Amino acid sequence: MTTAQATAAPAAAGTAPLTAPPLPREPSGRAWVGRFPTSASVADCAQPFRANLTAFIAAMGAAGASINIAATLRPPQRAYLMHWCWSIVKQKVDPRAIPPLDGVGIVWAHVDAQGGYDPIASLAAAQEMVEAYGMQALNVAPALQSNHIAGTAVDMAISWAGSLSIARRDGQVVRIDSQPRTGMNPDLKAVGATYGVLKFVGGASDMPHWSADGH
Amino acid sequence: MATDATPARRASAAALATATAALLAACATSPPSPDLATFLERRATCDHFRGEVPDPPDPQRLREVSQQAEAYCAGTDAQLAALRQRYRDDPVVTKQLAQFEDRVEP
Repeated sequence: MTTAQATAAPAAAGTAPLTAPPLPREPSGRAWVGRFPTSASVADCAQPFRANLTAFIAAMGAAGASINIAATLRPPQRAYLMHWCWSIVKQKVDPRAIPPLDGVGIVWAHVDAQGGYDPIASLAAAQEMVEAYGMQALNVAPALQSNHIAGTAVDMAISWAGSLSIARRDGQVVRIDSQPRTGMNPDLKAVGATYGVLKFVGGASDMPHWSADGH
Repeated sequence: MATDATPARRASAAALATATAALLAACATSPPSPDLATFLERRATCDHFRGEVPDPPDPQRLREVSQQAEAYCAGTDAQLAALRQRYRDDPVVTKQLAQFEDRVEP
């Protein structure tokens, strides 16, 4: 199996290119799955959510809570890769019809030795990616837009023992004796809101999720 | 040096503000019909969970996300198409519906 490759014309000697040269193009497949990883770092969030979340986590940490962050920013490039490999496999989208994304030189439509479109190889490569992303059992298309993709959401597990004396944004310390001693605690949600970090509005259906707008 | 206060950005912000004001005004005078409101609520929740596919893979979290997403997404592709047809002469609703992906189900 071979894949068509784009080539970049070299810039004329002594002149700077006006735009970045096109990225090397590379066929779809498992190798793409290791790229553009989802972050678990608060530093990758967008402002002002980043500052708000940093302050809220600092307050929880100072109060003795344990925080384990599973995810913050999902790069749009990764969302694109996850979405379209799933769509090729589950929705039978034609790989030749997938729109390109700046900065992602993936070739969804593989070609055979004669240079013709190879639908079997294209589907097999997308299937590899779906499996590597762990999405075989997923029956909805991964989103192309979300708070995680915008850098305005975090998935985090929160816990503490005993009571939690935590500062609100205005400095007032509140003592939380209520239960559960997790991120689902209503008093902790109220404290989070003072920082502009809002618990998911859908209740217990998404327990680790906080964001800039509650979605 | 370009700043947030460039004429283009000011014009863009003004256009966005105008569009938002028009949308809010329309909503204030004519609340969404029950079918539209139900769709908007379900699809928003569906879209939330579609954005929660765990990465790196986590089978337990994927099960949770998948169950919720499937519950809220089921049937919304057809509903979206029907609503777009029904409200094709309503520019406000048409704009609202344009934000959604055409197909999120297999």
